[in-house]
Amino acid sequence: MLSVKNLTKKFGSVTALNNISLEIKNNEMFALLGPSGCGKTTLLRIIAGFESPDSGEVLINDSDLLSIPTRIRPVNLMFQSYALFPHMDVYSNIAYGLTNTDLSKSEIEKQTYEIIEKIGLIEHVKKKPNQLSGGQQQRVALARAIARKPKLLLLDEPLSALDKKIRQEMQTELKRIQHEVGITFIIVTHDQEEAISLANTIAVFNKGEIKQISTPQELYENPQNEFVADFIGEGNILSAEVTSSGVIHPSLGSIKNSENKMAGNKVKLLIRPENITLEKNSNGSGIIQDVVFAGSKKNVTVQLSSNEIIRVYADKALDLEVGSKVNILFKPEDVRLF
Amino acid sequence: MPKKINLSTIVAIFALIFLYLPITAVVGLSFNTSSNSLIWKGFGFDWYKNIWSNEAIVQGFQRTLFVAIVTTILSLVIGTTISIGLNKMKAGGFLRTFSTAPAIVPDLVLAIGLLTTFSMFSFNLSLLTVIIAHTAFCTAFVVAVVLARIGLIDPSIEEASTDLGASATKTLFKITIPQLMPSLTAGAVLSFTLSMDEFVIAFFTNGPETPTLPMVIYSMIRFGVTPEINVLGTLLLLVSFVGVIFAQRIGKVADSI
Repeated sequence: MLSVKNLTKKFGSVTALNNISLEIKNNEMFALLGPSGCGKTTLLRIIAGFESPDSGEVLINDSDLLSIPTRIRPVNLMFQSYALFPHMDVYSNIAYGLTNTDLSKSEIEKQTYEIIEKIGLIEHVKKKPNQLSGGQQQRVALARAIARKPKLLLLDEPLSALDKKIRQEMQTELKRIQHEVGITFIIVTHDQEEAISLANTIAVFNKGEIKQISTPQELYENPQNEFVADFIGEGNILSAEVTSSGVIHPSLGSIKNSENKMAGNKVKLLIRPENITLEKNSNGSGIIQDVVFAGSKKNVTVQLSSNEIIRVYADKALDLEVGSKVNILFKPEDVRLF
Repeated sequence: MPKKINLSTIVAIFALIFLYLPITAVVGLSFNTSSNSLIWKGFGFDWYKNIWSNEAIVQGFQRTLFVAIVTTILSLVIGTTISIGLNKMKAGGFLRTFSTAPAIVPDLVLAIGLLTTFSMFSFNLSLLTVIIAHTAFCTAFVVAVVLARIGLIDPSIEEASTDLGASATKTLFKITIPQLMPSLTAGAVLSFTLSMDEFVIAFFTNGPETPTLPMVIYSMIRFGVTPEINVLGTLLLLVSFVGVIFAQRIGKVADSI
């Protein structure tokens, strides 16, 4: 539905986007995820029409999007700050986009009330934005952004301004509304939990480049590089060396060279905390540094003989003492090499 | 415990008396029925009635009102345009200072400069030149007030308007200007009251046939302070006062938005 091809954008000497290409399917919840300053917001603003790229193209349903003026693009943006019009009530805010069309007054009113009902704001129509809670303001912003029935809705950090409880409520709500209105959503966020819980597909950005585009589960289980491994979920990233007999880590020993890395190279390996089992052993290669009880599990910090620190989710029944030695056990298939 | 009166309270009271005594004198003596303003003969509104038969005063008042109203409108339009422009181009301190400088340049310098400019282009001095001159310095005040607020507006609000299909003109009138309302009102009141009682610049840039009220008062005062002058002073005070209260009201309403 949306194709971004070889997009490049520079601000002075800073490259915000470096030859970015991606495909977004119809009706998808697509997330652009990355740390701040990675270029995701620039991409969003190019699609919305507030920036233009130095080179590359953006196609919507196979026709050029960038040549369409911002005002009439079939794309709407929900701003991070919501950007509600403070001097207008909820109704006028939501109806604003429709007043810029040829629709008759009665048609505008009908469509606006349809949306107001869908988003559940009926008792607030006469209120000004500053009389609403954060969650309600966000609903108004969402209603206003979908009122023109865009083909594509862009959401800039949609949940970042909400507190935790309303956040979960809005997550469900966003999914429900996306399903109901059938609009493709692109979500920009720096928060991996937000991306994982909302999106079907995530593009991980760093320094103006796409590091990987996959489903949330795929990103977690099969990260293609160290950046993604580190950015998505919690992981232990350790340094090892490739020899002719396999990958050798000074504390963990020989690990299967699943990626067929060339001998003599240094590699990084990733093991997730839940994939490690600890076994008490006075000759073990790790020393327990810290144990924190976390309800269903224990969060254990272990120092390896290589001086690297790893995190392990251990069984809460396991009796672990700080300072005691342990063996580090894991399955070869749970290790990723970069 | 007896209330302590410290030195700063005493100074403050004297300062207030010093500030308000002349104003009280003008207002009080305006109700004097005597024809010599310094000899109290009795309380009455005689001079408030008489003043309207003095053609010089009435015409002067009308001219002043005309100049003040036109100046206010022009300063608002130009000042707001400058502020929006400076904000959009993210202009630095240099340009900002330059656009507000006429507000602090000594009136005399501005007056001489304007007079020189008008003669250079051989403009006939008239109310028109007074309006141009007043607009020059009132605009600076409008810019100062509007610029302070415009920077506080979230720029995404204008972007949201464009994103929702509004033209640049619609965004300006429906989104930007309503949010600037409190500072526009303040700028209007400032321009109006500044222009109303402005003397030095008007004296330099006005033609001889069309004196404004402050110039009429000046020519009258050369023969001593008459009760008429006290009445005029009181009326001018009233206009400014009403303006300020009006501005505060609007400001409060607008801030609650």
